[in-house]
Amino acid sequence: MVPVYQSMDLLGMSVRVEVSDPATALALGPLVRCMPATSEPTSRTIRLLKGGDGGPGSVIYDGDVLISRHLSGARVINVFLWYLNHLALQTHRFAVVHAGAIASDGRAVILPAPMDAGKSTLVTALVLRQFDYLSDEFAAIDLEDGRVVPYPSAIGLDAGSFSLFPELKPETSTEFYDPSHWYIAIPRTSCVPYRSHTVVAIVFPTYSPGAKCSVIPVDDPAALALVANETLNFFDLGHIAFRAIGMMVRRAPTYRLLFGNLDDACAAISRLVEAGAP
Amino acid sequence: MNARRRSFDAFDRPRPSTTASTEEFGEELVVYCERTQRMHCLDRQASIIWALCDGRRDLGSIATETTQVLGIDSEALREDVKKTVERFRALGLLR
Repeated sequence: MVPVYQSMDLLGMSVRVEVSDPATALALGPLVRCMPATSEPTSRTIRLLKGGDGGPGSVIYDGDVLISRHLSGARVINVFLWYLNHLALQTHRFAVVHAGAIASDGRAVILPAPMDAGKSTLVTALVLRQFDYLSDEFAAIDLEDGRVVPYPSAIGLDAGSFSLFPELKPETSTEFYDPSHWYIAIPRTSCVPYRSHTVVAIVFPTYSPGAKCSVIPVDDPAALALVANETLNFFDLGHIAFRAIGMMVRRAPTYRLLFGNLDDACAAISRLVEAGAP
Repeated sequence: MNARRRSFDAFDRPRPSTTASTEEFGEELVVYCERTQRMHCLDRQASIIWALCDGRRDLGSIATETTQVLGIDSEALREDVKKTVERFRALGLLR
């Protein structure tokens, strides 16, 4: 077995990842390398076993529990990363907002959005413009203080964004290449040490082809409802999540960002980060 | 006592349900009810009324103090207060 990750901090859960096949380990390792480590005792061990179901596919186990089988090619990666997200959502320390998140000098902007709003594309463009990467998928809001901590799993891009970032095309010669979805390994230089960041702006992005870039303020009560609506474990946490999100919304100005051009959207977000400087 | 009769009881001293939490934003309040899993945004007038639903005041006192805070004393406002408290109760925000 190849230990791909010795002890990963998955929003408070200590997870070890082991892979039986060196090629799978090589594909998977870079996608989770920025996830924070923990010294806590391992509470879960996820294993990917090639040929573990007697066939050519792979199986995924969480301890002794079979999670998925008959996985081949890119599906191994898809299902594994999906399962990590699934485990992360069991956290009781963070309100997990479906959002991208980037930062600069410790000041974070979170980008809550439903699927297909352009969140991942925008996060990718911001990281390429030297913003620190916090997350493509989950903005983890600390229930104690309303600050955000990194959840730096790989960025997932759909085919509609491929032409914008041809330089990020993954290695196509391996069995793990998916022509419809790219997972982008985050450069180590874009990952920040694991610590909480002050949220200086909350931006709800919407991509619309040809749209002129506009940044429209959202009032706080509406922002609270919008963020809560994108908080995946909101109903599990109830009023604790309500308070944490309320705390964050009270401190950080909130905007709707409509964009049709990535340069303009990135420039708008840069201005918001600068405006949030102490 | 059925719900309808209870909602018209002038001696009732409404107070927030234990499942209701509030967040304040200037003059507005957002109330979240964990039981119904719904959020309610209250405007200034409703926020004043909500703050007075503290278990110590009856409907008459709530109406009087609301008129004092808003500087308007009218029968229509008193009726509004009553309807607002009834609405809070119907939404499960009061006990």
